[in-house]
Amino acid sequence: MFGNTVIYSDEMLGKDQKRYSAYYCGLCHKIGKSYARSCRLALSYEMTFLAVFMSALKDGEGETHALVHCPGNPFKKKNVIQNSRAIDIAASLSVIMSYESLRDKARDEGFIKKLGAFIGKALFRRSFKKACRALPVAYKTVKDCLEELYELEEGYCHIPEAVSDPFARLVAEVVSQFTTDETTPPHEKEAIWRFSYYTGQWIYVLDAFKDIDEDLKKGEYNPFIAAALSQGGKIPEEPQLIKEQFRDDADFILSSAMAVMSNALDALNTGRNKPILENIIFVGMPARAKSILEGTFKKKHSRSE
Amino acid sequence: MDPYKALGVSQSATDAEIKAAYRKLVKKYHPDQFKGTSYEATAAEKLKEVNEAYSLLKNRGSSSSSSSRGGSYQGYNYGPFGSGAYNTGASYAEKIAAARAKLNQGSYGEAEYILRTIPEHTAEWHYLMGNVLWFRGWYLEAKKYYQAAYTMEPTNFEYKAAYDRVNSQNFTNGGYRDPRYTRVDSSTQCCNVCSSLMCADCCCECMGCDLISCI
Repeated sequence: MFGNTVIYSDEMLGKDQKRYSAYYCGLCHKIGKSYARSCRLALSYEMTFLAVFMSALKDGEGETHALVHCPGNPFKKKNVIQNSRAIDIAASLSVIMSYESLRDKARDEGFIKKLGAFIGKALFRRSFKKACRALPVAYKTVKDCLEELYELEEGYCHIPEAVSDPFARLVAEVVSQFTTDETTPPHEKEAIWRFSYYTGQWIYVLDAFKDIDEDLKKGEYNPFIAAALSQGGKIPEEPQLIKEQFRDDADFILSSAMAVMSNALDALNTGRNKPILENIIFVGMPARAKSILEGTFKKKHSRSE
Repeated sequence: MDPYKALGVSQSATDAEIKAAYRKLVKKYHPDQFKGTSYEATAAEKLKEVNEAYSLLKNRGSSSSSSSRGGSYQGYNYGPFGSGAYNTGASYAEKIAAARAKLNQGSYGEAEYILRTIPEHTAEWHYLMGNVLWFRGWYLEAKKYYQAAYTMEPTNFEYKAAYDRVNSQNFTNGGYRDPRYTRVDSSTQCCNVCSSLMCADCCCECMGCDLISCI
């Protein structure tokens, strides 16, 4: 996906960094084992974040650690978390979301990207079908929400919170499906829903702001470009103008989302993963949002997209 | 605004017909076609209207519509359509009263529908729209409406309170803007106080008096 729900390792204790890495590597390992080695491209920080969150709600029940080979670094063995329902779900979800994003690319990007997307789809189709069989209810939710999202994007929706709503709901519904049941108390269900919903909203809105330059150049839909059009009556030529105009609005949405997430987190019992989640929400995410909003963010290496 | 009229469908249209009408109008007013022309602004306005109308109608069927609940867990209670308040002939006061009633019941979706059919966008209208968006959890949109209400009637305390509430939300965690500083462990503050006092006491003793007698 987008890779913005990152940790801020300078402010993290070593034990928590190692635990976070175990989740990240564990997710990669699970994707490679259950699906295909090539599906490891589906690995993302967002899915790792959700895996950490979902696992936290059960405080890592039944999870074990193991040392495995890492295809990215053949000389080092990595510590991974195994037997984790949260990681299993995140793995299947990663494959589903990656496939759907390829399907989206295959629909409307330029020729070369379209060709690449078609090839990618063909390679991943089997894994995708397997993931859908593993999580049939989640897949239906993903499909319905993405359909609504595409409809809003095609309709050139000019309200960022409205267009991010289907995506946010997607995250909220899927996480709720796996972490709540009839026995969960209502205040917990609410906290989980709100946490996940605003995670999704944060992810979508920040990515939209980051993509203003590219989308303006390619003439593609972007909620902030649409908002500029609806307010000013014409699409500005310079992406910098749009950014100046909507920087405060974007900052407000992102800060509100993080504030709700932190309140929701306080209402939940997240056990050993609490420091990791707090680091991400209180340090990693605001730092990344600030650098993207101010335009100082540079992508050092893209491990996933 | 009458959403059915805006989409060009009858009140008895099916969901499929509404969707088809929406898609047709989106194609007609899509900004890609009007880029750089003199009709760009008008087309954008029309598209805004079409999108608004569709967002009101697309969830009519579902009773506890998950798609308009936004970040709120309790969710919207869309309820049955067609009750008296949707009569576009009703007066402003009647509609506002109906909208307020729906808000109190928790039927935010219906309240929004009624509000959108009111052509007079008074301060009160903006305030009630702000409430709808607040409960839905779209805080930026809520802020915009509350701000408009407060600007139109600056002496109204209710509107000011609502505006302050939505702005302070970001700070409920104690100065969210600089999170690292709020998360700093405050126990080191005590160490600073104690060590400062001890240093001060040493300095005092060097000069002849005594700040703290037991140290």
